[in-house]
Amino acid sequence: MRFTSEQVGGAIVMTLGERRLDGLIAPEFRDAVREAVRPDCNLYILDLSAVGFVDSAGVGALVGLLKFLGRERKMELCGLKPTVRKIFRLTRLERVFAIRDSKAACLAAAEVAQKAAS
Amino acid sequence: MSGAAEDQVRFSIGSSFENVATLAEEVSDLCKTKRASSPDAIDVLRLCLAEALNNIVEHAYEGAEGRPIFADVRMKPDRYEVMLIDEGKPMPGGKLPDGSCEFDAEELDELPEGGFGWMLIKSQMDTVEYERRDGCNILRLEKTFDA
Repeated sequence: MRFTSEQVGGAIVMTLGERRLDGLIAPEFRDAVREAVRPDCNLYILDLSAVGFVDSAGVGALVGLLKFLGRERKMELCGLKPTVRKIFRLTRLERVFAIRDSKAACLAAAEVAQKAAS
Repeated sequence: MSGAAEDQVRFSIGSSFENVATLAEEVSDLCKTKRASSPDAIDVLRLCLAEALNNIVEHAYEGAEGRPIFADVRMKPDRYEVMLIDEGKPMPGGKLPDGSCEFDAEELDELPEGGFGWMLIKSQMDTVEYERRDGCNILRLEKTFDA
């Protein structure tokens, strides 16, 4: 599985470099995100721009990760292709996930939030 | 394939998660080629087929590979019909799962992590019928083309 994570400011930016997020890859993907968690980071940005297909097992894994991260830590999704965005709409999970257009938009929003807090 | 008004194609594969992913792509590509259906409708078909076929591998065949799966695709002037046939275990209780998946978006701890597959199939297809016949599961999915 192609997956990278890096710290950018106060956020962890994760990129899934696979065409599909489905039942085949979901367990490995779940483990990789859990390993990317750092005690001092509360914002987890997941870039899905390489992904063209997500199935019910894929969204199930994302819900599991959201629950794993809990209320203290935030997960934001970005780079969703229209076909991927659609499954979030059809499952009504659009309301559950924070979805932004791009990685840059996630980072910009985080910066604004940080400035407001300080 | 026969006639322009109604084309029928049968696909036949051995069960595996890789094979069903490919089959879902091939069937939706066929529907895209045969009819000027919207990209939206094709995406939905691809997703529902992938979900239904995954269930066959995971539940009917309990992950066993190389067991037979057939997909009969009928293209009608106004709709397509896909019949998925396998020789695996019957659906629990001999009927389709109810496919309801209600949740409160505010209740993080209570969010479901599964059950989205049947919810998608039942909410997106116009007809979803299940029958157990001669030791086979037969799932019939039907969707009318966009006007």
